Amino acid sequence: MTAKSFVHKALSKKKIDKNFKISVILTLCFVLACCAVYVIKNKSYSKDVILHKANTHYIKEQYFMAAKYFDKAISLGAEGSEIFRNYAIALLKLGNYDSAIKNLKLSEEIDPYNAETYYSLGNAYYQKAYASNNSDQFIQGIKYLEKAINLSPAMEKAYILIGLSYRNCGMQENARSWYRRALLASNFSKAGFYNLIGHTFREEERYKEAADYYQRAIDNDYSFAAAYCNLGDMYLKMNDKDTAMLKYKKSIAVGPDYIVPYIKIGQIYYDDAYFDDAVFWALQAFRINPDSDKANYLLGMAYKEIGRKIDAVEYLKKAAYCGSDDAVYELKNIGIDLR
Amino acid sequence: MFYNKKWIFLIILYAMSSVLYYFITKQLILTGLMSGFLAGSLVVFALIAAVCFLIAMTLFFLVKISYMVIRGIFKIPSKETLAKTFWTIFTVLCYAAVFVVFFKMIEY
Repeated sequence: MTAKSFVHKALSKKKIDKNFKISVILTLCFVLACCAVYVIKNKSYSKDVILHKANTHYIKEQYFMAAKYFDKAISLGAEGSEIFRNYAIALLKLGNYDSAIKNLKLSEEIDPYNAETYYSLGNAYYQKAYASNNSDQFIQGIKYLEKAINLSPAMEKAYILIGLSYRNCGMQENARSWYRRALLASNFSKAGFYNLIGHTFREEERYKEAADYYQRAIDNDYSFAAAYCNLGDMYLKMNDKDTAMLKYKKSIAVGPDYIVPYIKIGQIYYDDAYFDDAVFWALQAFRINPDSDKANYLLGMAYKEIGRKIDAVEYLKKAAYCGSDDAVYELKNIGIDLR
Repeated sequence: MFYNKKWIFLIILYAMSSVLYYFITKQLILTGLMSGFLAGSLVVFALIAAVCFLIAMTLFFLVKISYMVIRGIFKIPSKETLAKTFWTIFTVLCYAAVFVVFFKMIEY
């Protein structure tokens, strides 16, 4: 190796080292700057300001932002039964059941006599159980709902949820007993609870008893359109089509904007092969809610039977986009794949 | 930066992406989502590198065109430092991107 090449090599090595040194120094300065920004930012946050922002987002139902600010407020030392409960409810709305339950239990530890906390715990377990189809979770939720009712016997929503939980476990008799307790307990909507008792019999396929309770609901509230509809369903199950039609039409008379009876009447005509009448009633339902998957599906099927294929496909496609699996299946049969 | 040892820069960038991912998961956890740390940090790393690469390419071509025009006007002899220019733009953009994302994550 000549002297010239040796010097050149040594100098180029120095160049490499200088570049590396500068790079390391700049990187370290960057990291230190980020750390400084983090520390200064953290110190500048006020617990009360963050909590105020959390509550503002919570009231506006902006649950992700509310949860984010509640989390920060709690990390800054905020505590209190209501804070943990509101944080938990925000988490529940986001579908984070485990964290919601954890925070509700913290709220319960601080204030063990708050009916709202126990109701929220029951609701959290109910939603978790519903999502995972786990009956043990329903039972756990029921225990908290019972505590909520013991603390606040006038909490109507707790009775409704406890009944729903029992019904999801297949324990309709238990659900009925709670609905009956609600009828005796306070000044709740009698019509509503009779209607719910009717649902429990319906789920057990005891249609006569279900009809009896739906009728009681109507007797307590003549404008209860849904109860007329439910009664019509029971007459249909008992093969009394004419009475069912009467009840559906009565439902329309008391609640013209309630879409369900239009679809039910349209379906009866469709099943009896009166497709023009089915189209008429489906169009009535469509006018109330053009995005109803059932109305669009019925219209599509009726048009298909009449022979108006283009209209049928149009409404079946809309029904599919609105969430109707039957419409997707029907379109596949016609040869249209929506994928 | 780290022009002669590019692999060190990539390791540092991955380490910064991991820290960013930690702050991102702190908020993702609120929605009950929990994805794997390795996969998540690699995604953040790839996103930052890809976006900065594309922007660096665009800026590099603008710089190259400007340099050629100036060289033509002032008759300056050519210097082969284009690769270094691109790398410098890329690394600076990566650091800037990391800082912006970090600042957004810690801001309340």
